[in-house]
Amino acid sequence: MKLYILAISTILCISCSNAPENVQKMDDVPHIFPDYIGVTIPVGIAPLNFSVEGNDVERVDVTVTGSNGEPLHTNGKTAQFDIDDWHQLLEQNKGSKLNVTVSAKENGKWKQYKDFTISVSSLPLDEWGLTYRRIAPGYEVYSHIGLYQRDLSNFNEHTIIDNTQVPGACYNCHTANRTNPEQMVFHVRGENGATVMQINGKREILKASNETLGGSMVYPYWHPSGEYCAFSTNTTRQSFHVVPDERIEVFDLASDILVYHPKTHAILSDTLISRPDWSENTPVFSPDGKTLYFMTCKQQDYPQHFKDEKYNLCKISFDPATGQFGNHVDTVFNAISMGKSLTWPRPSYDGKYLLFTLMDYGYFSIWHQESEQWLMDLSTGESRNLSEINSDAADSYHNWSANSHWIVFTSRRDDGLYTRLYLSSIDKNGRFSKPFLLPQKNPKEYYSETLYSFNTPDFTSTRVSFDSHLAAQEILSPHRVETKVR
Amino acid sequence: MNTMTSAKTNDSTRRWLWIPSCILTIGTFLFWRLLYPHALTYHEQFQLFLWDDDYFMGRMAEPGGLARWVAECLVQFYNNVTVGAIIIALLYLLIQIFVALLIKRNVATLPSSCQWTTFLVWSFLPVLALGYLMGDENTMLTFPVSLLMALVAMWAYTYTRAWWNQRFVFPIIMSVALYWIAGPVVLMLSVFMSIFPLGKQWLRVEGQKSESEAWSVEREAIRVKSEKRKVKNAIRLNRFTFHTSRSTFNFSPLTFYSSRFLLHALFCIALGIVLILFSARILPFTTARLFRGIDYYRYPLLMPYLMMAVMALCVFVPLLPTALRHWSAKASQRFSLASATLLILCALVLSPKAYDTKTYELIRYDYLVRTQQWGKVIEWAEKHHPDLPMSVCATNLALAQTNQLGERAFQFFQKGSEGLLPHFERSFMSPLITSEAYFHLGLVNSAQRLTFECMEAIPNYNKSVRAMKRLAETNLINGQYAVAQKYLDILKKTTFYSKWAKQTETLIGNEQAINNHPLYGEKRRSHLQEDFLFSETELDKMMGKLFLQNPENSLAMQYLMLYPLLDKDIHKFMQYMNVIQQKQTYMPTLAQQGVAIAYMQQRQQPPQGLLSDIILQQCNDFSQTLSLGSKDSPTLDRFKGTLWYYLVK
Repeated sequence: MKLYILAISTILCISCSNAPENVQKMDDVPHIFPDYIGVTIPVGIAPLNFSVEGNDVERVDVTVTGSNGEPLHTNGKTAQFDIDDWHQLLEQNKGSKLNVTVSAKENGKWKQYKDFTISVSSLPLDEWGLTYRRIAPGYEVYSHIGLYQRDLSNFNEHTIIDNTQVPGACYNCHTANRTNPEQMVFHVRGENGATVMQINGKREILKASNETLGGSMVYPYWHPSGEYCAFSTNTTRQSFHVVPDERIEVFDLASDILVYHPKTHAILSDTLISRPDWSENTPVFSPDGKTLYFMTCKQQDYPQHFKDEKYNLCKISFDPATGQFGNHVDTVFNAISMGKSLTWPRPSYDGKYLLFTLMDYGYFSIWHQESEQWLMDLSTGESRNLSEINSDAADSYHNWSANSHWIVFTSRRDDGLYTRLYLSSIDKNGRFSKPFLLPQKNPKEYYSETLYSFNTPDFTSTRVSFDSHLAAQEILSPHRVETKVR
Repeated sequence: MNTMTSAKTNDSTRRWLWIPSCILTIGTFLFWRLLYPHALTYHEQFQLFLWDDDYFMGRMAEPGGLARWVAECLVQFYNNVTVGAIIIALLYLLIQIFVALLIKRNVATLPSSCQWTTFLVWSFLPVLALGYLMGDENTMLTFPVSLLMALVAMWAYTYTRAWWNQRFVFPIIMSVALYWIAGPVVLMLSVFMSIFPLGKQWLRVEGQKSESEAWSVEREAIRVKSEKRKVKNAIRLNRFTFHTSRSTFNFSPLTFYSSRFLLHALFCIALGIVLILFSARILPFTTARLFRGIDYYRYPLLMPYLMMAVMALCVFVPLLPTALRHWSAKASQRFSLASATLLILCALVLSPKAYDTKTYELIRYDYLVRTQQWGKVIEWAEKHHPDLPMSVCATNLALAQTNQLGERAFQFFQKGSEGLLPHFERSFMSPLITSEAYFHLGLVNSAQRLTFECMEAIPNYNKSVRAMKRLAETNLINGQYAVAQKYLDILKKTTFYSKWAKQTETLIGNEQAINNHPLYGEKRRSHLQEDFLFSETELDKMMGKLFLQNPENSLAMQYLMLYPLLDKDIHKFMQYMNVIQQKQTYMPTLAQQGVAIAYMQQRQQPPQGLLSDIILQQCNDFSQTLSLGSKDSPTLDRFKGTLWYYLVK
């Protein structure tokens, strides 16, 4: 009797099995989302789960094989891998390639696509995860906004602070010092506006606006010593296009840059970086801390001449010992001569490169589909379009990993509106690998359902330690630390 | 014999008990279905309920999440206003029934002379107060759903028997569970659990129960683990026994029982408060918001006092019979009768005050515009004289859609060009009608912007199914197919928009089908080719560009003609009329009145045949009447509804 039951159970199991059978071999690679075909990934990254595109796909069967270790196999509605097994396979195949075999059951028939590869980089990432803001890609009104951190080894996301904790608040520009969250800053806009600065666990809520400056501090960037933090102060406006292909235009009626000294709450400025007819913006320190890069533009009559708002990249020397600026400004990249505008300069922490975005005009690159990332070799001064990572849609808001081997950037390549995060590595010749979309447990479902964009991403070397409950109470309180212009 | 008669009377009374409940249910249904159907669709449009496990888990991740999910699930059916009215009516009925059941459970602990039916009328008080509260359009259905969940928990509590269960197990388990599924209504349970056993014990102590029962309680109390406490309790018990032997015993908080029950009461209340405070430490919400309920009210920073009053009524009304236990049956009946009369009077007098006329008028306009019932918009405007930018905008849009703007605009209240396209304000409500006007005009980007702004302005961070549908449309028209597909994929997970989404999906990428589509094709033909930035101060120029882009755009033409007239700029009007006349033979009554006044201002005669004789005659009459009196003269009133009257007023 037992034998009969066993036999029947086995037959039932076999008949109900979802293993590919009568497989038809295809000549092309599968059309998968996210497009992980041929990408390069770091060891320790979360599994690259994916789904095969097509309404008729009922099931997928995927095997990932490396030259070392046990192959990974998954069978289901989408390809989802076990996190530990995935990490093990990546570790065993560091510096080599993984072969991915995909079969898909479409209309009851199994098809096996041409194998594709995923390269496991020998370059380490050395970062715990990412930080970013999530916000709906809206116009003037914002609703749910938060700053979040994501563990890159798995799919866990943690809240740094959410505007459900400070109703009506808008958070932006969360910035750590070279990915180290021990020194971090972000802005709060709205009724309880402030600049929140946390250094080695000690938090200060700075007054949002300095009356001498005539504005609030925007676009921060830390000095490598942690002694200073550069900001711009902007009078920003936005308008809206009426033609189908465009949405929003952001321009500054005025902007200057400054350097803040947290210990003394002093704001350091100079006439060379706050010229009355020019807009200086997005300051960043060089890795040695002796140069301050920034972009600058001759002010135009806005909004009428919004298409004439074009920025060049400039630099000025900075003495960290005295907090003094140099006596002249040099142009580093003349974008205007190319009929373009430059924005979001980000030097690599190893001092080799400078990454920036070029667009037709303006500086708010996410609303410019033509935005493209460029790389300047600081040793030669030569720059090139990063065509290997750019797309037809807006690509911008890049940041480097602390070891300067990886970058994270935002792109609207998937649907033209909702920005998502892509990672890519740079080799010794300055070439970037094919970028890959930030992995999710079920990426198709996650990215198609989310109504939020990811922006201003950065790496974080460790998990951000931030008591959001207490911080929210401090933000809601009227107490603010005053800053003073030196 | 008397007992038999009394029993018969009780039976016949019970047979009619369901009648007031039926009246409540039917009344509620008719109220919402006939008087406020637009209020139902108003709620439905400001949420995006998805049949999706992520959506469910998202809701379940917050206190009160299940109540919110259930409420949103129910609100989606407001799409059909009849079903929506039934849902509210049934919800009210259930709340009333559970309050009645709690009264019944409480009366069961009272002397046998008390009938719970005597207090039945009071079970309507919380639900009537709730009905008043629901007149506030920002009260979310989550609140009554949570209320019902709390009432069920309270009712279940009255069935707990064992002391350890009643004192500890039930309070802890139910408080945690209720807080997580229904939110801060857990405080209702806390208060109820702290008072209900106290009331029961009170009666016992008063000697109205048998002495043996009192002793059984005493024996129960002796089972205390600690030897020290045993001794202490024995001393106290002796004291207590001494007191209970007297029938005129007065309850004192210093006795053993009172201290024990006070401790329990404090424990229950502290439990509810601590739960909320603790959750505020670990969840990304302010403490105040967790106390107010995450989705009880649309504005997270507010909570109407009446909401707290409704919660209090649900707790204290069932305990009312305890307070009135000394009353005779006759006195109780009289009290109930008086209460019923008072409740009905209050309901009749106060109900209209709960439903703000202006607000619901705007909601009605929004509903009629959304459903494109242009005739009804005009009909309503004729009766109720709209005077707010939003309602004036709706009226003007309806007039334009029915090609009457040039004839009748000044028969309605007008106050400048903002009545055509009101300036943007950060609200989830008022820009909706403006976005409809932009959409019908062909300014698809502006319609898209305002729709998005409305959705983002929803105070409780909900998304909007109506906005999502419109955004799918605008992106489809603009050729942003991937974004349109994203929105359609989301709408496919809804109950009432899924079919539309699947049908519309077939248009994605099909340029020819979209161009030939009666609505989307027309909007594409109106697309502006020249890129410029939107300006609220130059809307007339934008109307001009729209008209020149597509002279068949009747709405743009009517708005272009009326815009300068509303701003009383006759010079600009004549310029625009020249532009219009080059493309269309459009000369409605108001345009003729404008031309007549323009020529009159220049002391010239209009070209022969340009204006009708009646208009010329009327213009002369108006001019003479004005010259004879001041602009405030009542003799001018016969020119009401004309451009001339608008210009001088």
